[in-house]
Amino acid sequence: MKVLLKLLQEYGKMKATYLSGYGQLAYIRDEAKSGKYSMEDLVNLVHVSREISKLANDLRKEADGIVHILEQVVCVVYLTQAEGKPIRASLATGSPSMKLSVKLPHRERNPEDFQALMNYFGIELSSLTDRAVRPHWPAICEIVSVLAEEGKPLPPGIDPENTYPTYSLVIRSKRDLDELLVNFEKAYNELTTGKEDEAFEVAVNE
Amino acid sequence: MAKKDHSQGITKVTPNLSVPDFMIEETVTGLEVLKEFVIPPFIKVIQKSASDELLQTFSPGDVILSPANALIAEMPRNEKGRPIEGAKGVFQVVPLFFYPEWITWNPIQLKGTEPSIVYRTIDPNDPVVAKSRSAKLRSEQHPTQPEYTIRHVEHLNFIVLLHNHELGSEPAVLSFSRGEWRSGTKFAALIRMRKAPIYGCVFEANVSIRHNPKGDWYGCDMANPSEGSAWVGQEGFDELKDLHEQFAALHKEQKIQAQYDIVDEDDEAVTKPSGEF
Repeated sequence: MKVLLKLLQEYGKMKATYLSGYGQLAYIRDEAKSGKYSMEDLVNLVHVSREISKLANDLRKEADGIVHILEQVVCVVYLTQAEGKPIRASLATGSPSMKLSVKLPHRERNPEDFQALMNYFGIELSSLTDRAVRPHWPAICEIVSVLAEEGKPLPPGIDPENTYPTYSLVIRSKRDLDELLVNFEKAYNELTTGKEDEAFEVAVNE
Repeated sequence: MAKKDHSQGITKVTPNLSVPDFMIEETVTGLEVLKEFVIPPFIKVIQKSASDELLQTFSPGDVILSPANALIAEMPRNEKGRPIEGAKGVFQVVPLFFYPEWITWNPIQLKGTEPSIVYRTIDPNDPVVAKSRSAKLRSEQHPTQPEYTIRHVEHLNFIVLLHNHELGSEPAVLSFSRGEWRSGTKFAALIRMRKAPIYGCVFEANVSIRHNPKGDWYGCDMANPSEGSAWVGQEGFDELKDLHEQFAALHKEQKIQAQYDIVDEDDEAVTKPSGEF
């Protein structure tokens, strides 16, 4: 698959940048600590380091976003297939898992449901009046997911209409990506056809 | 609107099914085409736009078994016949088998002149699958009448048995698509979360009104039962397993044919894509 090869090549470049960048930054850190730079040098170094940090952070956010979208697609398609086995791909095995998330009743707009939910957890509304204590949404979602797994009903105050599944994908790596890149380069040089796709297929199947 | 009398729709009769003596020796013929497909009854939620014939007997939000038109669950209503706010029509089911089907639907405007279903497939590699999952590709120009659009739709079908219900336990199709597609994925997720055989689980359907800017319609949310056990009893479990295997085999042979509701609702109101990737 062409796009997978391109992404793997990006991974290779990223890894090289990471290693050289990390080395350079570590060197600067040690030098700075020993007082080798002038104030002007330090300002310049801070400026450039910040830009590196921004770029790395932007790329991380973009990658996280793509991971999230791809995970959702995999999990939803997985749900709509009759078989529930892990997805075995050439580089990794993916195991979709799902939890139930809920929309909590609003304290002011839906006080009856809110009170019913708090009663279920044994919480006195009076203890919530000073706003120091609030329902912890992730923890309630965890509890609701466990109830769903056990076949138990939703806690009072939570409408089935206000529940929705959330998905995640556990990835178990089958191939070392660095080794795969080395194998690809080797296959590409040996094949002499100039066809990257072919070389990649050879490397994956090795 | 006053509360309707549903008694006519759900009158149960016990027909005499024994073959008359003079036919006993005859070869059974004329059923070859019928054997090709299993067409289970369809669990239908009555919408405001249902046919007059249905609306004379049922009210929007009621759930019936089609084509027998037997009432499964009634939307709770006040003495004036209006739905009680926040109330839900509730019934329980045991899912036996799940399968998706992808269908290309003709527009409602061509009803009577062309078949409602242009194309149907259960092959997950069919090009229609990708089209049905993409907001941009889902609607296409009709091949011969460009003023109309055809629509590719993913239907999430659950073959279910009604649980502890007076209508008995004939397998029926509970299907989720378009505006209800997300509810279908939620049901599939709930089944997966149980980590148990699909036919061993009991779920509760909660029918309630949905709103979006284009209109409103009645939809079905699946949840664990609010009353009773979430699991089937040991007695009858083997029969459920057999039924599951029978439907799995029929699906493999492409012999299940769900009888869908013809899309006759206000298309805009119920098709707001809520399940985009």
